[in-house]
Amino acid sequence: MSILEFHDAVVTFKARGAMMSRLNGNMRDFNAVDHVSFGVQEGEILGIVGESGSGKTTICKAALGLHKMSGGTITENGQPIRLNDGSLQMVFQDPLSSLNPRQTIAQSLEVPLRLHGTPKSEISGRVDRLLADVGLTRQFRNRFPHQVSGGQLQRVAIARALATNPRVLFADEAVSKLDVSVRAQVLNLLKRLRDSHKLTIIFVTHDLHVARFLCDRIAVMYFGKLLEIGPTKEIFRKPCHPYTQVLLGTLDKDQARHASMRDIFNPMRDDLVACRYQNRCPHVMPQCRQRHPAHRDCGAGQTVACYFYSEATEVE
Amino acid sequence: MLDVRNLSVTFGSGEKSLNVCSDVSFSLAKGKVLGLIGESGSGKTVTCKALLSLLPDNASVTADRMNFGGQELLSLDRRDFNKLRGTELAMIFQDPVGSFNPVKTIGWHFRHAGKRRRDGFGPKSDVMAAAEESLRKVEIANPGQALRKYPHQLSGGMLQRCLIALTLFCKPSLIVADEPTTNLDNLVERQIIDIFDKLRHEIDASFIFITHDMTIAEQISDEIAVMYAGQIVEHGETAEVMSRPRHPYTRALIKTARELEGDVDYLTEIPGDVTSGLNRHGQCRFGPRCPLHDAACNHTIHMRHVQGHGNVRCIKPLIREEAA
Repeated sequence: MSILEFHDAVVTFKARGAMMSRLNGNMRDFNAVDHVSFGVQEGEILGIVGESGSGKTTICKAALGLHKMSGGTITENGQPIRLNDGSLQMVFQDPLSSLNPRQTIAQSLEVPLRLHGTPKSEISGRVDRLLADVGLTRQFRNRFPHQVSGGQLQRVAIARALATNPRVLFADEAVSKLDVSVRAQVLNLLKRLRDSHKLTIIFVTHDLHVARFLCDRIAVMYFGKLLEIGPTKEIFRKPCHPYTQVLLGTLDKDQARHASMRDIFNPMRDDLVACRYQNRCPHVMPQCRQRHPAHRDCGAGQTVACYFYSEATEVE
Repeated sequence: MLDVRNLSVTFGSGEKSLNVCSDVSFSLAKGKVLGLIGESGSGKTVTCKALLSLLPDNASVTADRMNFGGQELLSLDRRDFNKLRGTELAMIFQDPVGSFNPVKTIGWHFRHAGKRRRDGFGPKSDVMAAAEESLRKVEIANPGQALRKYPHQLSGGMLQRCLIALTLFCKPSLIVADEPTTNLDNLVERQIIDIFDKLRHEIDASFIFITHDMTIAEQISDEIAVMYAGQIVEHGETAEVMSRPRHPYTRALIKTARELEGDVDYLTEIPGDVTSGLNRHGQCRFGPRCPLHDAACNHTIHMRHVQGHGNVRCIKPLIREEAA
């Protein structure tokens, strides 16, 4: 049973502009998340990877009610998501700008506790416990965000997200601003918290090394479409979508000059009905220009949205 | 080409002064690439900004020697330095969007930079032809079109490539690239690194490539210098440093990078953070985080030369080396 289920989710960004340019077709609405369906299992870490503009952040924000859905549903345990009970929480990319610079760390942590009805007498103790959960000492209580290093600040942001006892934690590029040595600390922390707090984590990243280390399953997105989803091991062993293959190819140091950077998808110009990847795809076929492919099963819990994939390519 | 001895940068004065960079020495031969590695706050950007004299007025820069192509950089006054900057010494910044004037086209930036070129330019059409040539070098498919665009109309990767082209336009002989790929995603990062890799062989310039990513540094640089809390702690040939790191900090960095590529349950952490190393005068700055730290480290640690390796700022690796 999946804890969170995205069903045909659509988020549309409306084009603003004059009536004439709309009629000319110079401007049009764009689905930043375009009919995406997938389920998130309880206790897993799901990685969403893709380049900038692929809609990976938008889909998280949609689940948290920060973007309006224009179609489809997101359900939590089969129920429509409840936005006010704190069961879904998010950690943002830049910890410094997500914490109030004029509040001490203890004050920042108290806010969600108070809002979710923790009795006054327990708040101080809970703050200490939250800090301990993310590996910080009590000394941090009275510091301000600018007095704390980036890695510690990201822990504070995680602690604040944990304050409401969430069941699902969305981490949006939570380590991409951190240095390599600090990154290791935060990644290990997330992995430990998953076990100790029975968390489900949706981890948005563009770093494939990080995704491979942390995630149980990986979803690959490209300009609003979910192209491929499956267990991390399977995706790395047998990437089915040409885009995933290119993406994973970037990890291979010896494979020189592979990522053909042909024209990327341009939502203002390109056909929104055809396969989004057709401009860059080396295997493009006539039917790719007709309709974006539906997801098909390719074994071991992996599905791919590509016409090119078939049993024959697997045998190769 | 470039020779820096005992560079030291201090912000502020008196009791509140903060020494962010001390005893930094390195030299760079013509056509070589130096990878400068370290976490944020380790002083790598400050070191390079000191080279280009871009630090604010409250920073005091001292050095025994800061020699660039026969000129002593510290003794130059502002006007002479302005002539040098952009044409001989150039810097590529981390954030391409912030490096362009948002209300001017890409072409305007090239015209503007062209004025500074030593050999000068004739009519506008010549400048534009040269600009297109420069953009083609960084693999921009349609340079003529790109020159007419405004910065917000281009993607981050495109803009970073334009910035590189703009820097190369004046044919500088030393280029400092300050984490040029940090804000970009994997595909674009790979593409930019490939371009750098190609350019370093094509053009006649030395590079200082700042990064905190070991794998990038390994790929692109001839030499690696690892910085920690304002000091260079290890400096040597790339292959040698990567395969046989001597300093515990370098060792930990490389281990984490390798683990991310491999298959492990938990990564090796370096406990603590870099702020613990600041203002530790007269003792090893990495001490509070070092697994090998003991009483013997409580004195000023100097760089020492290791035969066939490079320079290391640690007393331990030699002992271990002899034991092994």
